[in-house]
Amino acid sequence: MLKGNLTEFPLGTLLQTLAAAGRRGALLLSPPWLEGRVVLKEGRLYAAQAGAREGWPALELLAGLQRAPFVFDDAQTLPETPNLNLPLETALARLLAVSDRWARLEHLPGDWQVMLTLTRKSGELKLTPVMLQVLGLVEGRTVARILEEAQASPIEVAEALDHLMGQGVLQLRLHGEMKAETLVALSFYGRETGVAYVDEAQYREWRKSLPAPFGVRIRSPRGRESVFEVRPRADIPGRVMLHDKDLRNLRAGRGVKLEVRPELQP
Amino acid sequence: MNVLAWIDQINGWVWGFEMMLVFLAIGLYLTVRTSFIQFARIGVIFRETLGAIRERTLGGDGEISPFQATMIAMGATIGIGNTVGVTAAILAGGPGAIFWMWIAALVGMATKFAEATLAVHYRRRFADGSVSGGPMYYIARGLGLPWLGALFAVFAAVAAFGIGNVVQVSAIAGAMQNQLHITPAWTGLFAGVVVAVVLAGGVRRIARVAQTLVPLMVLFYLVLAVSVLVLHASGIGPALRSIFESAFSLQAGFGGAVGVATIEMIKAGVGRGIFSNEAGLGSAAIAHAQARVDHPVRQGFWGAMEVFVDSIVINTFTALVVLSSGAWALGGAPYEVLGQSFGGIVSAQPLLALALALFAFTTLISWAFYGEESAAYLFGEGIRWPYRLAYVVMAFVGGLGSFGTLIKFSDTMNGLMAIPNLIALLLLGGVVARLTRGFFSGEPWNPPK
Repeated sequence: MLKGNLTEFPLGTLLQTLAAAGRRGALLLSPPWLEGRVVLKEGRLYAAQAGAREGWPALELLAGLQRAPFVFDDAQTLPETPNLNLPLETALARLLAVSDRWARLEHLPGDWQVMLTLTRKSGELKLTPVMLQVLGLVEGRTVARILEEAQASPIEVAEALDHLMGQGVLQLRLHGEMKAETLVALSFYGRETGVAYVDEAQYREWRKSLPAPFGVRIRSPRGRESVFEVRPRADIPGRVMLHDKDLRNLRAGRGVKLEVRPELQP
Repeated sequence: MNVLAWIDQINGWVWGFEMMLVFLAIGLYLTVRTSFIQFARIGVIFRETLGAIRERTLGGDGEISPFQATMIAMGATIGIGNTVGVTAAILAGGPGAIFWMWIAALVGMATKFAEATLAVHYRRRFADGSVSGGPMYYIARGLGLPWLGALFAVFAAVAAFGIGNVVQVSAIAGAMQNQLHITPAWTGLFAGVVVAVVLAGGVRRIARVAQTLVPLMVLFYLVLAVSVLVLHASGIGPALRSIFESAFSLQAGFGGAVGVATIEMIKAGVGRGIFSNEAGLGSAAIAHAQARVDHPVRQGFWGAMEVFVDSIVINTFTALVVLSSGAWALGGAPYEVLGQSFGGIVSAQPLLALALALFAFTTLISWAFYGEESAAYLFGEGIRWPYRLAYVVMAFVGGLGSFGTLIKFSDTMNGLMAIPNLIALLLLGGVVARLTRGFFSGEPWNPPK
């Protein structure tokens, strides 16, 4: 049984490899927010399902997954009737084109479990029918559900969401506070106080879940806390780098474990 | 003139007073280029080193923690020079020599700060995240003089067999024979086997051994010294006073003009302050290059601290023991005077011998790494195992007999290491200054491509 994650094997490459090897069976994708299935039969993409979507829209939706564990099961009972039934080359060419469109999205988070909310931003914006449709679905639904339930194709819905987020019409709705990380203090020197540096990977992770701008609230073991501007820096995993003076203000020092919680800046 | 006479002449030159002045001059130059870092930023140096001992490693390339890298370096520097060497300096120059030793050591802090900083900055990174660095790399990559870097590596790879190996095994064998009546052959065999086991684990195992053994042996020696000082508590005040008073007094040598003895005192003290911590020789930079740090200057602080512990703390304790006991005033061979100074407490002599054996053993391990890195720089990765094997065989043989010529030759090689290194420190002083300014401005480090 073939297992892995889409972070290592993108969907297009995976399907191409399986079909080229003449494999017959079902590729099961299971990100936490969706159940996906692509059936391969006789060198063709035979059927696809992603949540409530079926056929090509399902495959289009699955092409947007950046990470998801997968299993290829050749013992699965395959459906009698196809909902896709595309020759491999045609399917892969279309999949590649859609994947390119997904890759161009700048604002839509990779985690589709999050919810979006309307901002209070005022001003003029030209809305397309898909955008209108999306705005009607936003409240109370996760990104995954919007992508599944909207009438337009998943990639069009995703592009509409991305555009609206980029224009500041929509933003992430945070469920209470973000989880705090325990990071070890490291000092830096210079004139710039009020800034906290975290490792690039940590910053990227927060950046995906939070719309810019965001900062960090840092709490010392002695209970002192303060809010800092946050910036990425290379080669400091597990660390938060603060100016020597800021560390002293927090009654902390180098090597002290600090509670670091990202939060939206007003 | 035969070969031995040539070696003696070169040794006299590379370890002579004129060379000491060069070490001092470059140390002073680096002190200025780093804006007197060892004085102006002493608090930062302490916070970033002793204040951060228990921390995990930082990210980035490199295989061992900054503390482990420093312990490898200290394993090599702490040795006979901190005990017998300091006693010899007092015998040659009187108590005032210790004051000049401090001055030279303070200058040396800037030198080793620069060495450690450059070692990290110019180190080579491999695909697996491991690194290799040291003077050969900063000479080749920083100055663009690979032949000079190779020359340093040749000196270091050869010196390791003498100063790092045979000299140390002989010292261990001597101590074991005198105090525990163990024959040198057994000591040599034991040293060879232990060295083989440690070297087989590569830099990580060397680091683990060093991080355990070096602090323990330093602590062990300091406890021993404090025990003696407690017995001679009344002599500590006069000992300190004699250091300061005689440091500036014009003394007449035996039958010589006033001032001759003063010069001898300065030479003895400065020589100890320079050579006991190896600042300027470049050897320790090979260990510092291995540290996982986010900025080279952070490892530079460890370099400065290494000199502080070696030459200010340990040497001062030795000096106080020797001076407060009064044994130095009677004269004699340095090792005997040192033994008499520690003779006040029960079983001090065997304990001192054990301390000296430990000092020698850590030097043996650390120099193996220096030699191996230098050989790998010259001949590639394939040389590592043959070099280790040769080193282990030499460790065994080293306990068996005297290798006077080899030791003299390796002394020459050891002294010659300083020449390419000091040239690099002089010419790369601007890079050290830029990195230091950048660090204290909060700028991230951009390693050279």
